[in-house]
Amino acid sequence: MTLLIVVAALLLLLFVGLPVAFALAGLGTVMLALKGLPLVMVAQNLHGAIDNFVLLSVPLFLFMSNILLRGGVGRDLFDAVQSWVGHWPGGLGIAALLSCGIFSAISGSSVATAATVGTVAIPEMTRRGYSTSFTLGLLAAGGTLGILIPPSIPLIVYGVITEESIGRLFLAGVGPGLLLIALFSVYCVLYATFTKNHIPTEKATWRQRRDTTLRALPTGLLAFIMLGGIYSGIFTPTEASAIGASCAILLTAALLRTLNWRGFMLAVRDSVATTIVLFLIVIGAKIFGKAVTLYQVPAQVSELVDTHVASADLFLVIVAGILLFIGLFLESLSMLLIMVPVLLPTVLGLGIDPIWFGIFFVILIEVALITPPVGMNLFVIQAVARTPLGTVVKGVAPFIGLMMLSVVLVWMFPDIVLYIPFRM
Amino acid sequence: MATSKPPLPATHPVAGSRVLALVDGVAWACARLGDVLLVLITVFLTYEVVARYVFFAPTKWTQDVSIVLQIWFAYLGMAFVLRQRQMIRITALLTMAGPSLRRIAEGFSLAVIAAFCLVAVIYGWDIMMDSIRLGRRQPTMLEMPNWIGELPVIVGFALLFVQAVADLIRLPFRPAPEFSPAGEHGPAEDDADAASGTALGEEPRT
Repeated sequence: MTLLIVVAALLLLLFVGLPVAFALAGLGTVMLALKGLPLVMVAQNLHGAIDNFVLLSVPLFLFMSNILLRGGVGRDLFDAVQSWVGHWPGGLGIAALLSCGIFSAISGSSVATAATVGTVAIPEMTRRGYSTSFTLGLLAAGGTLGILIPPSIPLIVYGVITEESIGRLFLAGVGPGLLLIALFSVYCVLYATFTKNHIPTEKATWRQRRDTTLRALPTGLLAFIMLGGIYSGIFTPTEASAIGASCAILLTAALLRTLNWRGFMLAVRDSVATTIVLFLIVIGAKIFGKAVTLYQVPAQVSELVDTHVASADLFLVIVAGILLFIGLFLESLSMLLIMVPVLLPTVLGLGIDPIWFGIFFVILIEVALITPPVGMNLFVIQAVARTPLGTVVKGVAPFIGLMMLSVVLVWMFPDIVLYIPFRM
Repeated sequence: MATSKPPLPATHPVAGSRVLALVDGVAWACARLGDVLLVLITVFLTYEVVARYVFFAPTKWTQDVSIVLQIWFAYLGMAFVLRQRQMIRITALLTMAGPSLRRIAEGFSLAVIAAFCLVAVIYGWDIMMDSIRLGRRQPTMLEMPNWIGELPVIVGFALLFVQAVADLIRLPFRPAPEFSPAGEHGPAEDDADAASGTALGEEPRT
């Protein structure tokens, strides 16, 4: 009964338009007050919520992504990849996907990935005759790789909530990230082969390949420095984010000379604003999490699952269904912060690996990023391409199917997630 | 969250209120201070890695100071984020609501935010005063006094309270707020604008 009332109250507050952070914090505070608990607990959680060194990587990865976005590194990256694969059937689409994949390895944000690569790839693909809806759908879906391929802001937050190793979570995202790139690429090839409505790209000369690759090399090196630094133990993920941000500034301002003072300031401001918005939800979720724990809501969920759900597989199907539904309305990180603390005891009780569950969860919130009416990547790509939202929505439909296929594959073959972090 | 708030006529008492303008100005200034703090965090943590591997002299202050700066910039900037209407919220139903309902929903949100801020400030103050009285310090090498990390909670929520009340005062005198699903997350719009080369306003929107 308590569970039902809490869920109903939260949904009511969210749907009347109360900001997610204050729906969580407000409801949590009322719950504590109704139980007669001292409200000083609220203030204690406000102090403790973001007093965390690991969370520092969130603003810094955002800062790096925004610097690279404003510095326009997407053009160099896309040109380099295109020179190698652009002449293949569906080659421009594959080049866009690979660019998303590489940018994802230096950015923890799907929005930044979609915007950075989309700006360059969308005009080029539409100029070459690819249908607008296919192009926009591909870029919206490709952008979601940003939160799966390390570094990833949702995986950092998941690691903080569950106290799992951020490094292992990052490694676990690599296999599914490559799987998604492969699935999307196969679709590009099939699409290009059957529709034949695009103008093929000429094969680049070796000189063109060398020149474009050399220009994009520093951006690629950035990923190598950060991820290499983390896994060789040279620095922590948080320090890696600071080094990444500093290197991104050096790269775009000094080496490429594509970042001016105004671009730098706007990158800082965007990063600060986004961080505050995200941290407010972290703070709200912390208070709400405290309250639901004291009301034994996670235990009630666990009991409900024990009584009515026969297996871990059925539980995962139910979780996937819930995530797909609330993903229609709710922003991705809010889903993670609301759901994970409640579900975690059940996940552990059913013997599901928490690292595997984290990746399963993130793939499903990737789907939420491209499902209307609330899908951040849809809006970003719509704004970049300046087209009606309906065109983007039409284009992402096949990619949502492919992402669901990847969820099934990850469920059937857990090693896609677990092999790299645990067996390599 | 996209909203249109056309400026009131200059003769209107709310439009001309110096107090409300001051509230907006303070929120803006605190957010800009947050920009400086983020850059400082980047510099400090980069310096830590350089000091460790180049000068073989790791610092004992960068981690603690960076965390404290993070707390300060996150709490100080809340009022500006509210003013900019960048908080994440579900607007699917509000997009279909009429002007009166939208205004009521906005008023309800601001009232809840203001009420929560009061709880945060009152109890946050108690915690900070306890920390000062008992001389609490962080259990780290730097042993920084706890109140340094507790003060921004009070300052931040006090600023947010004032901003919420200021927006609440303006609400009846303005056109009803407009909501669109695309506008749930302001910074994302900024990203899209950045990508498409659109210039962003540097001053707080009015």
